[in-house]
Amino acid sequence: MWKLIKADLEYNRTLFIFLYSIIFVSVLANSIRGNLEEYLAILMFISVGLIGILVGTEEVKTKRIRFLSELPLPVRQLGILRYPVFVTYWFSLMVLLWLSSLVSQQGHLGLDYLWWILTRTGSMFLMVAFMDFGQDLPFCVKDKGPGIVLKSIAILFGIIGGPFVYFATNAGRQSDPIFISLSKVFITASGAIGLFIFSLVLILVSIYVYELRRSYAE
Amino acid sequence: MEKAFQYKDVIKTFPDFKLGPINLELEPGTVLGLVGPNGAGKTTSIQCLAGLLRADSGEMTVFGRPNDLNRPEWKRDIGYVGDVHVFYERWSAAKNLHFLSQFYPDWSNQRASELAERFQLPLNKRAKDLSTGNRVKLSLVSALAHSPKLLLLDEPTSGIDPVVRTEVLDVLFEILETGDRAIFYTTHILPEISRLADDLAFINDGQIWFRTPKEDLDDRWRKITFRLAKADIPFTSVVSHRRKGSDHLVISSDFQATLKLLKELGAENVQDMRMSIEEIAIQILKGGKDVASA
Repeated sequence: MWKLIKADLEYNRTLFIFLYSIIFVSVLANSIRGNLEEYLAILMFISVGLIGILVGTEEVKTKRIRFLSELPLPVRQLGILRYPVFVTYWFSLMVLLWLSSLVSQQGHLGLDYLWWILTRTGSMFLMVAFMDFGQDLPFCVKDKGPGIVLKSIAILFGIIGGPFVYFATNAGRQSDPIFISLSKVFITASGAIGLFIFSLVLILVSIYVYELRRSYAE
Repeated sequence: MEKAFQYKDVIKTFPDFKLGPINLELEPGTVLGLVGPNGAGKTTSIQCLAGLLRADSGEMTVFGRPNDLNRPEWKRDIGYVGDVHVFYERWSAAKNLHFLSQFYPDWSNQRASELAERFQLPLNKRAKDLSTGNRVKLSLVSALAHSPKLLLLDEPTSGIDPVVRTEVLDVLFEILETGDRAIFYTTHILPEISRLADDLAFINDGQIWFRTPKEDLDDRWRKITFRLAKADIPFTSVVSHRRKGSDHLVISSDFQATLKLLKELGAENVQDMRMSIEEIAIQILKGGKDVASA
């Protein structure tokens, strides 16, 4: 598994270096100036979106699943492989964000901040997991029609559900009643932890769905 | 000795196509050519064995081990070259080979280098900048560098020019001569198979019609010309019959039986001519399952 992760990181090294550079500068700005957490959160979301679009598109175009499926590797490992790089990347961003806020707030961060980070993480994982098993679902069923319908539903959940929770629970957006309600749900211990655990379960489901594919030839 | 591979009642269905049930096996060290027209099920068959497609039912084994996708040690014994050649496109050929070498304990860098040199493969070029012919060669080097006991080649020369095709076949022939490797080769380019295969299996509409040693086809099939006034001749093994007056041309799948009949009927100027494997295969594929089993 480590060989595959290393290959993935090396292959996309330029993109990661570019994204980390921009984020690092922004994190530094937040450490000095403070109160830039919301903008950082947006920037980090965009970076994941860019990775999804650039890396994901190339993987589909070059039939990465087929390439790796030809190797003597368990299919389960290939299903798991989609997550370590993304999860590590995301956690590193959250650590950077937390550190910069700690510096700018001079160590005064309440528990609300932790729930805010956890909600961000859960909503991001939710989005990615839905997108991933949306890609796999058409290959798990015999008929294309139902497969495409399932894919569309999963991807819609991913691109709407995940970002909605992500942005709606921005600490600053307290004016709209819906956002206020969502913040009250998710920027709490039970809401944040519940969402995070739910997103981990979805990732496990996504890995399982990958194994159910009837074809790895695309 | 374990079979190189075995298909047992393998079925794979798609909305508009059904493969199987397929029952097929290959002895180690032999070459089996799977011949059929486009859409016959050749690629589906080989992809099921290689683990790229999950069969709906049936079993497949490679050297006695089930082709279980979660216990893929059997894949170390195979070298697969598919109809599509996939790599890390922004990496050079050399880097791709280095990446692949990590997954095969029997990989030999020396062997990979020798093959690359034999193929004149530009190792420093990025995969995405390689021509179609060079992509095929890179796939072949990748498949051969770990000295697999079984090669699965799915129309490996499809889409490449005749010069490159000949180079590829020459190397494959050398490999055949130097080892006891089994090869399962699908193609619709018949001259290729006539050079390489020990046995031929004919597939169409998802069914394997029959399988025969190449020598048998060579020994049994003939074009026969003769002169006979009689128009209605009770042939049993003739798949094609053309007549112009008293001059006849038949294609027979059992020429000894046909010659015997013609002798009994008093035919004159009887001449039989050998047919190439390509000509025989065309007759079989045109004629259908009944011709195949005649």
